[in-house]
Amino acid sequence: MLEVSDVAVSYGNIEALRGVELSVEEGGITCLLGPNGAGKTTLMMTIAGILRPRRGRIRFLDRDITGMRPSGVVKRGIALVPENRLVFPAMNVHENLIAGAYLRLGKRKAQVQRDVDHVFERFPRLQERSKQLAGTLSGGEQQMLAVARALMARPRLLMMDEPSLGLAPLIVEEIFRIISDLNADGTTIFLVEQNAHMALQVADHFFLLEQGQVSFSGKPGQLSEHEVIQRAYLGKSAQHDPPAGDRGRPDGTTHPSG
Amino acid sequence: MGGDYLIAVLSNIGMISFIALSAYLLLVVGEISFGQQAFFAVSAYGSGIATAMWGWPIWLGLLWGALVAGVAALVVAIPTVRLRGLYFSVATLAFAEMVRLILEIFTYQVEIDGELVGPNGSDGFRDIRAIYDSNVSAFEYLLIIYGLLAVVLVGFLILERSRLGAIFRMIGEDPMLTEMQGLNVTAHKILAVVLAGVVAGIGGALYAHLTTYVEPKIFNVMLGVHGLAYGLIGGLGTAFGPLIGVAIDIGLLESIRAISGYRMIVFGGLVAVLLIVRPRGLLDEAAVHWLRVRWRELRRGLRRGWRRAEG
Repeated sequence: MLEVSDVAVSYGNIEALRGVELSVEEGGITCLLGPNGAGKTTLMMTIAGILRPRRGRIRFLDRDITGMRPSGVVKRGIALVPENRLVFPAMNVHENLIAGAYLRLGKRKAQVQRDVDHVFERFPRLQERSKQLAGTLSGGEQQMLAVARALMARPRLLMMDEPSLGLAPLIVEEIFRIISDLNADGTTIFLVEQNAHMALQVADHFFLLEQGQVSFSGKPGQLSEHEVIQRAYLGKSAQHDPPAGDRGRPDGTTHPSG
Repeated sequence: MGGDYLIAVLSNIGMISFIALSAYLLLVVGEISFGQQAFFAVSAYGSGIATAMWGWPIWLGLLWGALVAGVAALVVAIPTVRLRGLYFSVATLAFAEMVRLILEIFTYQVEIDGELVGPNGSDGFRDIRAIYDSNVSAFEYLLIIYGLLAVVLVGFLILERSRLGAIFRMIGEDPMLTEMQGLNVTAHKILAVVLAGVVAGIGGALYAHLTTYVEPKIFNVMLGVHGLAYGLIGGLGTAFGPLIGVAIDIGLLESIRAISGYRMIVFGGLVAVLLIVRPRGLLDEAAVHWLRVRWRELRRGLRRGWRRAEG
């Protein structure tokens, strides 16, 4: 569905991505894991059209979307839930939802309204707070609102950049339950996560990104969770052989420092 | 004193309101312009030339002035809207100073009834007498100013409830997130700059015809800074915000004689305090939201009371 081939992105002289190769299969949940600074967010932003690659190709549904404007990428059916900048804080919840559907609001008002109702069924808490300013929602509610708004664009592919960042464990579980539900209803999901434990539970396929390159591609279980966590949090340089048979179960909410 | 003075103050409030609304529209899309006085100036000259030199009727002169201001805004917008934050502010300031300096040397005069009429560089542009020649009284002109202000204000209120107005607010809050919703931020910003230019232009055309005389130095940066400050004082949550700002400055500060000599000091202090206490003005988005909620509750309460009274 999505094919990224040999994509390189630089910030000035610093190479953030150095020839990334990966693909996302239709209908599944694909995860991208890796340590801080590996280039995960850079890759998401590049696919979404916010950053331009120095070289390489990005294809979506067999069409080249390399270097396309963000609005063009959204129209092709890719929605990104960005990290940290989730909602329009001075607009209320309902207005935030409508914002996700502006492209078709002019012609299909009734359809948009049905989608709002549908999203409210999925997120009853948002309906309760429909007239509340988005900036006054809790972190978890803002994350839900960001996901809900992305759904309003009726994406074929939903990309999420660290949806669990800074949220309490119970909320993280709720977010991942929502991710699984969305996928079960037919939305393809491409997820960047630091929370390897949760990510490996939902993923059909995952990639490890280290120092701007994909260093592993496979199904959960092909690498021990212990090794994934070591490589995802610390990078290859810190890797050493895990004790045999030890499938470490660290607290799922642990975040790396820095 | 008396009626004439009151009419003069009210006329001033009305005309300055246009430049305040103009700067406000750009603040809504997240841009700070120090150059809205340029569109005010361009339209003052443009409409003056149309009525005093080409003999056009007043209404057509006003329309022409607003149109010229809009075109000037488009010319400014295309290269500048991609600039972010401070760079946009500096670019608008540079443009406005450029316009002022060009007007200092701009000479275009024709002889009408044995007298030279038209802009004459730094000596300014005299005898824009259209409203006196057609016997419009000061009070009637006041009604024209407020009639046009009402039209523009209603336009703003409709805009705020529209899809376009919501997109403007989204861009002001987070342009990148807006782009991610599939919207063309650059095109919408250009539209906002052009609309703001037209609004400032209406004020400029009205101004030229009320004073009958304009000169380049009137349109210095302080005019633009005031226009900007009104929105920041009154609030960015609704178009009434900048109007409240104008009323506070001209209506209160300039009219109270006891502080007349200290007006700029009081005004500057007020802006500084408000920027700390309420960075988005008295009627900011949260205040407007609060008022809407209360208003809904009040209406619901009244309706319930009405039904009870009936039943």
